Amino acid sequence: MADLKNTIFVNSKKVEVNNVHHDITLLDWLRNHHRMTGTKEGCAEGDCGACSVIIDENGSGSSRPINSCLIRLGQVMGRSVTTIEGVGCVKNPHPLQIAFTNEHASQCGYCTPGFIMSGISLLNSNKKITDETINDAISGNLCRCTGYSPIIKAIKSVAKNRITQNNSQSINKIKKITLGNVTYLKPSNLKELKKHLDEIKSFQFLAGGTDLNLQRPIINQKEDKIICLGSIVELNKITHLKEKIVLGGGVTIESFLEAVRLKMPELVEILQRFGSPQIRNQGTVGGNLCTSSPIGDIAPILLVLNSDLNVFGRNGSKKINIKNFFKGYRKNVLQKDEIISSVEIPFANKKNKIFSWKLSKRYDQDISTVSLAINIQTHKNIIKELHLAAGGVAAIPKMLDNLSNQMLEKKIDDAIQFAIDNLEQYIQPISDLRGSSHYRLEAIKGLFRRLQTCLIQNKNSLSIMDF
Amino acid sequence: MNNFNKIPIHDSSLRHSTGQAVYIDDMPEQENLLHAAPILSKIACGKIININSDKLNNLPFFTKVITAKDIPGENEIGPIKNGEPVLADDYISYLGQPIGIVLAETHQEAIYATSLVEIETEITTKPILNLDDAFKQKSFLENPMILEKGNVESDMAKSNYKLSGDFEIGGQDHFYLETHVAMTLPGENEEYVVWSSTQHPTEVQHGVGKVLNIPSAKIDSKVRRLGGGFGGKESQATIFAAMSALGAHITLRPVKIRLNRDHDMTASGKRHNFKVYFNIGFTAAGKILALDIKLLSNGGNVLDLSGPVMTRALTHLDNCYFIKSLKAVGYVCKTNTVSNTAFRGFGGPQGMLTIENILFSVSQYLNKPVDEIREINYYSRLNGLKTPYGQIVKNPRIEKVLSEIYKLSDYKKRIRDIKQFNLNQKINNLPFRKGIALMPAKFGISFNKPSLNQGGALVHVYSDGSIRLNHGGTEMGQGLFIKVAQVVAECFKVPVEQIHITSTNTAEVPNTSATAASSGSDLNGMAAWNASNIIKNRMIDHAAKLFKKNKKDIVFNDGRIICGNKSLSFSELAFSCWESRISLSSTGYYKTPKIFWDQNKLKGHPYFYFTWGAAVSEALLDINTGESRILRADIVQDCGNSLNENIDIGQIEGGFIQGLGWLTCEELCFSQEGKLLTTGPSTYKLPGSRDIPKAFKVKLLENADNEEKTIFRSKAVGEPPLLLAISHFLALKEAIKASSEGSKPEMLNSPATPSEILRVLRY
Repeated sequence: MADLKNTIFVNSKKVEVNNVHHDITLLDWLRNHHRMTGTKEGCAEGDCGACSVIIDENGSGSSRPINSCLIRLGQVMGRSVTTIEGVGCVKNPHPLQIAFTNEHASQCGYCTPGFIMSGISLLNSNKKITDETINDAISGNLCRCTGYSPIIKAIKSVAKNRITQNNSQSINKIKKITLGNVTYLKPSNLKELKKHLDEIKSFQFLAGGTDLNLQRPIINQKEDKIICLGSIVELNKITHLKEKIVLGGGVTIESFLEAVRLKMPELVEILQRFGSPQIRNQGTVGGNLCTSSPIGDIAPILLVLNSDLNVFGRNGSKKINIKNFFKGYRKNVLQKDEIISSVEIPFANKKNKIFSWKLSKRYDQDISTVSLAINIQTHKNIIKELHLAAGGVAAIPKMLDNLSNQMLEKKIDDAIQFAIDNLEQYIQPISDLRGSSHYRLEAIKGLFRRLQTCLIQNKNSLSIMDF
Repeated sequence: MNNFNKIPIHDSSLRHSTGQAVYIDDMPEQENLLHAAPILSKIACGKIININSDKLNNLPFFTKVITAKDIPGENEIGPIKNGEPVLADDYISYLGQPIGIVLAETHQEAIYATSLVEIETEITTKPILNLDDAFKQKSFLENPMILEKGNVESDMAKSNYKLSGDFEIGGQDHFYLETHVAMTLPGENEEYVVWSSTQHPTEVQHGVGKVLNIPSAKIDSKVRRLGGGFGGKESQATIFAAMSALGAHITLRPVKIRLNRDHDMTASGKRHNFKVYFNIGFTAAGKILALDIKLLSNGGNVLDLSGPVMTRALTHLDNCYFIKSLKAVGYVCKTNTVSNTAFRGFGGPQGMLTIENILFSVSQYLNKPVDEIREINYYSRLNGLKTPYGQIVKNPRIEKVLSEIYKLSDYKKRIRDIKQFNLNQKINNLPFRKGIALMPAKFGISFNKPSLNQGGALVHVYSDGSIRLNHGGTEMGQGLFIKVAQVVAECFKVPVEQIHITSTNTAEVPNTSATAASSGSDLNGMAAWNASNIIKNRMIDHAAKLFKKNKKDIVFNDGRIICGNKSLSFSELAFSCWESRISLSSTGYYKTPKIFWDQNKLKGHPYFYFTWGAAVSEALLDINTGESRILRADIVQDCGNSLNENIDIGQIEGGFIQGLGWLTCEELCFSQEGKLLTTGPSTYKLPGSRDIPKAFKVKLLENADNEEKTIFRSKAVGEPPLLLAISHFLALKEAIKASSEGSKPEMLNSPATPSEILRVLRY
């Protein structure tokens, strides 16, 4: 397998990439090709964090933690990566590594490098160090031995002596890389993308890859082309307009979260519970919608806010409403050559209240069993406007228009009682490993009761996490 | 125990946090190393008709398929009974059972190649996938085990109050962060070095020997550290070590097997799920007179350690309570699921949850607080001290742990506060309810099988004064190595840093027991103490000659050997011993005294001593959605005279959280065909950092020297704290009880997922 000579900056050193398989992950390359074995594989599905490394954010100069098991080497070319080996060693440890020792924050030690990387990322950020931000920073890391308390203490103990460092030296101007039989194309704007689309017949899009890279073919004999969307400037733009916010399709979920933290606070919880920092730093808004899972994570809230999607493809651009986007289980209306170039999320009417609730076995880093998003306006206890969307109750994230129409112009109590009494007519969820059909129905009814209390008692939140 | 006035930290901690601690998959690979991946069955039971690997011939890389037919020795690794193959031969007994392995030059190629192997099978019978079906069909792995005391029939008849019921107790995946891994290096003359992530190197040695038909003396079984074990690598590591050895034997190349997470979760055993049926007779006050109980455990496809797991469940269902008459029958059910195995607590948690569930049901029935029911049933001189299995609870520390936990948790005041909170929620039409529960726990220490209670150590003092320590225990994060090093340092009165800790190795200490049953520091600590003392006595003899004084005048202190106003450094004396041709190396050996056990009658004195603990947990519940969390936990644990308080607190906190996972969010789901669906952390949810109690206080019981002569009068700590998480399960029941009049909290099965809680709330 003759490859073009390409480089990655690993711990500030240039490392050449040679003789690798096309879909090798960053994790396997570090461990197997360079015997940098501090980074561990715990699950290879982005859920345990043992493989966490810090990567520059596509040339922006800032860096963020990601799961090295979920990123292909083709996505990392020309970028800079910090691994545990770059943080410190026994002879010259980083203060956080010493803190982990002092606080007894490791037992078997296998998860520890991953926690150090998450902790370092937090310490390097401009975030305040609180229980809340620490928990969020390590929500993508699992420890089976310690029960987390000493880990939280260790991170907190170095908060006072934070050293913000940035040694990212990304060159990131690579536009084409061949690894094995596969060519990764990295257009830097939509014009270049269009050119590729016109020239190439057979290809696959790759955005963050947190879903696609789970299903990566292990061995692929035939020649292939992958168009990486990560470097396209238009896709990474966030535009704040008076009446809406426009997110490029390639905006990461974490950037989405930061962008709406102040302006759309009702979206914060659902985004904060989206995967983990590692996943949110890699997964994109467009990618999440395009996987079109029935759970949909961000889909229900975008549905009730009546968002529009701008689609870009070989034949130009068009706009479609998100309500017309999902077509079936993991199916949507896009053609093979089309991507979501941006998402337009209108601000809700100031008189409206927005809620977005997710139920799962675990609060953090879990996929919802069911979720419910609500956009509602009431006047004198009468429902005047209502948009409902649910995840996990059908093959697609579903608008419940028939139900909400029945609830309009009713008193809140009566409308909610109607929804609870008649829910089975509107949704018929299935049983699976996340929950039974019975539970899903009862849980949605429970969320309607929650809505009732929130509306009548004028509360924004009614969650066990408030305690 | 302090060493020079400070409590030592885990010996590997800085190597953990810098990524420099070496696990087996991190070890340098020899150039000709092959990687193995298992071929797993796709049906739960049936016959193998044909294995076709023709498609591998078209691959552009090297592969080799190995099946049961290629095994030179016995296809057998059962730790207790025979009939447990490494690779299924002609019969498949669970979905995911290894049928063969594929060897290739990279891990990815090996995994990929397994998907091209076609297994032709014939489904012969319908698989048995749940406990009630197994029971109905009398599908058992062992004869029913009967623990009997008093006369249940007559005492039940005499009881004015009776209650019956049933409940389920879920299983649990170990989810050690490091999956099963083993690497075998072949040498000359049929020698093999087997590195494996095992809690039981000796069993790996035996298993590999049997499979390859090679004597134990030719096999060195080693492990420096495990990335977590929790019982999951006690017997089951042998399966994967044997696969790597088989590959090495056949190809004469080093072979490594490292399981992907989904293969690990599919093809390795878990905590046994149980189903319990009970009848209980009691007085108006709630005093237990008779308990008639049936425990069904899911052994899986083969026995593995399921017998002893049931024994421990049966001998822990008394917990801290004197039961006048008991008949408990344990059925180890044979099903077409992966063979379940040891998991921290080893049946103890299931036994203890059983009695705590039953006491809760009694309290519901009598409409009394469960604490009142407990109060009148505790082991005491008044009630009785004899356990159902005949051992006397000599010095119960129930009162001691209770008085500590009352103080620590402010229990009684909080019961009132919570009552008020629940009332306010109801009045204001709000959905939250709280519950608080206290629970004491007694846990028996020793392997139930007396022969396993032995340990060995090997200590070398070198002429430069450095000390090399080796013993039969394995380090899986629990801090065993530093504890045993502390013991040696204390013997020689040198800083613990002077003790060099080495990999567990059957070539250095043979015939070891598994590092399990919380016994690691008891057995290996004492063995190392004995080895060190043998050397120390030789050094004292020599020093007495040097100083021309009596042996009793020689004192080891602070790294020096002192005699009157003269002294030598430890290294000077070591050098002098060498010059005078005195051996500075010794083995040490220890066997636990006083224990005996009749496995047929389930009677005897199986436990050298008991550890005691108590916990109070506060649960919060959303009655709209079934979501719950733990708000606060207070724990008092009896560690005797703790060898290392920091390590022990780490065990207590971590064990408790692992117990919470078992009882709340960790749920194993199987398809109707018997396929495990929760094969990774995306679907199998263990606790994350936000799932721990916001307020979490842990205290070691003070002035609690072990009444038995254990190493420095310490007590074991590995398993007991896990059981204290049952207090949270009980607190959830209290919260459900507070949800509405007529609620049925006694129906709650574990794990108490939102779905399960809502089922009970909406019943």
